[in-house]
Amino acid sequence: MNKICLDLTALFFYSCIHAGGNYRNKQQMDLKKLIKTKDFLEKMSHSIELIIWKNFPQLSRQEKEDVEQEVKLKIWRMIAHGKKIKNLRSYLWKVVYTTTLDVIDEKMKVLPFDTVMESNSPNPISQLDIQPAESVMEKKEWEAMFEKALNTLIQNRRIVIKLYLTGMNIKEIADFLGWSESKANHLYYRGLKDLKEKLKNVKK
Amino acid sequence: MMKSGGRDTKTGCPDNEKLINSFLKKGGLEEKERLIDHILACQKCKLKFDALKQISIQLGTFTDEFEGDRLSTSEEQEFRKMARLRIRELNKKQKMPFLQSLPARYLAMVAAALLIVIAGYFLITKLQQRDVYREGESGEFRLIEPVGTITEVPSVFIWTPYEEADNYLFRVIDDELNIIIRKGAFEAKTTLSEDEKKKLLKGKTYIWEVKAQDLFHKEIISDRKHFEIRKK
Repeated sequence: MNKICLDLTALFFYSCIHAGGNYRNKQQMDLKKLIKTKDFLEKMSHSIELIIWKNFPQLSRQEKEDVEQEVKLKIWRMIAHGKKIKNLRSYLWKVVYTTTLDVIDEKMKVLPFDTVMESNSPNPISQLDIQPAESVMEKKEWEAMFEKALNTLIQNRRIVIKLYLTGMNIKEIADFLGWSESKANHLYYRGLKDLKEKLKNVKK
Repeated sequence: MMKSGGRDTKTGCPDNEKLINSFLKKGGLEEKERLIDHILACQKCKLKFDALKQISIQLGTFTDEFEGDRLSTSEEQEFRKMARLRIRELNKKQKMPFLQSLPARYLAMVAAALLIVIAGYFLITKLQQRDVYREGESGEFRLIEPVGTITEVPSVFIWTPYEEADNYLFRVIDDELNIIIRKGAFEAKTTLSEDEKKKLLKGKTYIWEVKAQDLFHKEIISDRKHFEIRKK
């Protein structure tokens, strides 16, 4: 709480000092907007930090503490030296996404990838309500069959199923594709139904 | 790293820009599908994609924020200035002195230790002040035994009876100023139970005192005596 108050005070003084005698100048970036943007970036840097911690659980305590500083510095450096801002929202969104991937890239360089991917994520196909084969040979054969069947679906249905296999839920798929949730939901169930039909036919 | 058409030619992985654009609703379905096909086959890109997905969920909570906001040239300059100021602050933090760089847990421990020392000093001073007051007033209300160095854990504590007292409050304090025994008595002595005796350790010094009370809760406090149970 204190920290927020200090930040706001610092921002206020910063704004007054830099405004000089021209504080009421309409060209001056509105103080509210400035604070809102700063708050947003501080919040997002915390989210990035948590996501990095989650994806790299093998980081030591010290390394985790360093991530916080690293993320904040990257974000503000990008803004200090960035390109011309045409649209503030998409600019900020891009800064946040880019920072996330930059930090991940750096961590991947340092940490052996095998340890990064101590993946216990389930087989994506098992996320669908479709029974895969059990033995290794059958499994390989089944996966090839599955892929073939999946690729014969019509594009809209196919892409929804593929996104579902990446671990996205219907709402996330809809957001990603810029569709309504009901459209994504409908295409998912139609796609799943088609897929089951095709797999049944292939098995026969 | 060699890049061609938004892909790393060595690994075939899409570059970061392409991954980000897919979340910024750029590119057509076919481009997105190619990207997803790769992600389903490449664990490195899957990790990045998942992280972007999580960020996208967080960004989704700022639905209408900054919508339609555009910055004039001078606003943009202000924004950049703020960024430079923030970088300076962050760099200062990075170069902070040794004490500040200690993890919060250690700082909390140091603060707690200091607090204990200060509280101890304060209590001792207060107790000493009370001594002066008490000795001047209590007169014949004195503690008799145990006092000084003793060899066995004491069982019975004896003091002079106070004429107007209806009951007594007896307490033993250890060398860290913790009250370890507190009990009432109706005569000018008290006997410790076995459990209470176990709280008194050999080699340690203890202080004891008695408060005399009447029915109207008027009180008088004895002087204070200390005893040490010698180690054999």
